[in-house]
Amino acid sequence: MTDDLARAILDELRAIRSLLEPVCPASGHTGSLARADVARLKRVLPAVAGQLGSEWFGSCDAFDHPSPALQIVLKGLSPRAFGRLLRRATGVAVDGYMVERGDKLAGAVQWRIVAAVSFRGNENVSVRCTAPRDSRQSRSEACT
Amino acid sequence: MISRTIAANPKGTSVSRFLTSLVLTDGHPMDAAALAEQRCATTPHVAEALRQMMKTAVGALNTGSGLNAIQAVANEFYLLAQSTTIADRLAQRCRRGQFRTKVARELGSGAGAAWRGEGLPTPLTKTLTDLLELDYFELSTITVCSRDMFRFDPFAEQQIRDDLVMGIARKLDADLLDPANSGTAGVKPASLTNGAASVTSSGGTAANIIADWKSLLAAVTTPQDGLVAIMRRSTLNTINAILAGVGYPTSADSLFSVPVIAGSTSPQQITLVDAPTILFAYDEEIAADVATESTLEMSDAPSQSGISGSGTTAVSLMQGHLASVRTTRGIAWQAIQDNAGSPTQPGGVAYMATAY
Repeated sequence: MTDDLARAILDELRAIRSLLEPVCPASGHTGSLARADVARLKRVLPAVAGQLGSEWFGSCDAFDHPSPALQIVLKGLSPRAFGRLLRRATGVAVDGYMVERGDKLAGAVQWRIVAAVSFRGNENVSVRCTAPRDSRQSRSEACT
Repeated sequence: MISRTIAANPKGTSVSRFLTSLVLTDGHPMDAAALAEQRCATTPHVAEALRQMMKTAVGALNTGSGLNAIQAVANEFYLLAQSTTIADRLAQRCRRGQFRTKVARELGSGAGAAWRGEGLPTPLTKTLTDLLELDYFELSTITVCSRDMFRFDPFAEQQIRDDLVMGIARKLDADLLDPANSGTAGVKPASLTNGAASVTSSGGTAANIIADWKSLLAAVTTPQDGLVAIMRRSTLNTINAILAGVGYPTSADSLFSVPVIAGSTSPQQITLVDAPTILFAYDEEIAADVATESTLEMSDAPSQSGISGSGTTAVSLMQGHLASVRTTRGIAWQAIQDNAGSPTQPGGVAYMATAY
């Protein structure tokens, strides 16, 4: 591979990254959620995901579920408060989990938990290029 | 934002994580609870169970959470075993009894109704019963495995679950169905097939299988209202292949319209059981304990192996970087309807050893 080609590929990758970064913010960016919400969601979302996976559910369904995991994390919440929490959390990645809102079923909004796929620029893209052994100058340029 | 769907935790995940947390912290519930809190976000009841375990040790079971998390984890283990062992799948179809409690057994034609004419007395139907009592038998298995196996990752968790459940299933199902198991007083119950009618297989052709099946049905002298066939999955597959070859419709979960309980832990035989004629008593939980430290072999050239179980009579868990999990459960069974022609032969069971 020539240096010019490597440089062209690198430019192309940078262009792709600049396009992806706005739509794939790094996980951990919890936007406008209050701290209390984030703290609660950090406990609730993994537990719901562990029990239901990415199945659609209504906020009342989670309370009716026999799982002890859900009983523990939903303690102190009402179905209505849980629904409001999920509404606030929709589309925001919290610890790698994200809430998606679906259509209503029998008057109840359906929710599901999915894994947020984060894109963190340089961590996800690495370019290895091999420069000619006899040209230290061109190697350093190619790998920047 | 880009996202992907998630699968729910497989059944038994919390059991694996509960044991893994204990093994990695050498059995200290407080440390194990802290570890589980940190590593098991999708199963928060594991940390809760370990905390409750710690409080139980100092006599404060009521944690105020309104949830018995230890029981929840134990139940999950039981449900996992229930879906795996032949004994548990059969027990769900049988008559349920209690340990060391007398149960009436029908010996006559049974209570019934009668037609009554106007102004005439209601005819009486006499019945004859005796009393049975199931003793308490405890099945205990110790599974020894490398401590490296206890990790918080899906593959290791699956391995732990499978090892524990199959350890129980192999012993339990063998003792339930092995005709040679005549039981030991106070230790283990005799198998259902011990002393039961047996049929000799006439061969492996479709005609042989059909003829043998008719012989098995004839050997079951009870009403056959809840008849169920037990065999290995490979046996059922082979029979299905043979029968399909001659155009007979086959099914993955029944044979000649009789429901099949298929499991690899069955002896190589077909067992027909009229389930309502069997009395089962069982605990709906399985106790599990872990140990990571035990006897040391004081040698500078140790030859012991925790894998092959050889080298010495005492194998050190600590020295071999091993952990052991002991599981214990109570279970007992007994046939309650004898063959009319032989009071020592269970009427609702017949079996046939097979070569397929």
